[in-house]
Amino acid sequence: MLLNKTDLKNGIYSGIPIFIGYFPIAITFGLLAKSVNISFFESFCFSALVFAGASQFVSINMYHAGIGAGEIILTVFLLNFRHFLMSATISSKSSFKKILIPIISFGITDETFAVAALKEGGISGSYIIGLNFTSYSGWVIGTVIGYIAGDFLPHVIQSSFSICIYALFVAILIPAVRKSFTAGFIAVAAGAANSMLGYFSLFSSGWNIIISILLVSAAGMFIFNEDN
Amino acid sequence: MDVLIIIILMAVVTYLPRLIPMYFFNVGKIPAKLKLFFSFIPYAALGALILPGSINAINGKPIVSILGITCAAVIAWFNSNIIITVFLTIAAVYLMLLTGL
Repeated sequence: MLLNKTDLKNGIYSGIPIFIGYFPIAITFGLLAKSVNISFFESFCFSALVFAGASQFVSINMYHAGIGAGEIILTVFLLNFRHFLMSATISSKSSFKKILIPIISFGITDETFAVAALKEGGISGSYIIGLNFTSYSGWVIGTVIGYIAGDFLPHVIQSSFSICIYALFVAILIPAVRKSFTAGFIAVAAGAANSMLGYFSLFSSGWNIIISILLVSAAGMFIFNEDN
Repeated sequence: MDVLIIIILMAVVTYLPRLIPMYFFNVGKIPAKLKLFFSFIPYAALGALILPGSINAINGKPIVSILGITCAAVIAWFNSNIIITVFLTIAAVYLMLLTGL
């Protein structure tokens, strides 16, 4: 069997918080796309093919500002390059059947990565496919609904949902920090590094994240040994 | 350039960095030190994703954002169910926004 049913189910279930987090953001994206006169079909393709939150917002803003296609595409590439690290990390934790790699890797986002990488025990390809499926559905369905009916949502509800993704990150991180001082130390160091890089704004925010992750993980490799 | 073509090119440059590493990094083939490095990446990534972005989670309302994230941290400390943490945090933020914070 190519897929393991139990793992797939567990993955689909683990994706529910991401679905909840993505849905309102995707609604906002659908609304925004409509407001800059991108067609319904194009907006659908946008979320269905790119599937990368922040960069989609950035690119729509750039497009609306009349910035050229080359610059938009380069920016999206730089913003999303951090997924390279995440994909490498996921595959260093688990090995998949080669044939599944194109499907598994398509759904690697900050959120699916965070859930999968901190899952207790091993991660199987089936688990990640389930996890990505739920998350992807939230993103695509949200975009479609936002485009068609987004205006109906009261503003205060839309605003309260903007905390979702961060609540999700915190909810994943804190239980790990409770168990391991090292995890907390690494996370705080990376947050501080990223804040400092952002303050000096030498690079784009995508690169700030990449640099912070690499610097802090590399430093951790020298400070701590394998038993931590 | 046509919007659809830009979208497809964006999809390609987003997909390749997700796809390529999976063919090169496989469990078992990695030296112990590098494995340790990879084991830190999730925590470092979460830290960098939370800070400083979360401070402006709710546009123009840093105090509500910070209080919201603090709520999430406290709730997550006492229960490890992600869905419960996310929902309680949304409810807390909703109440804060209703009171006009």
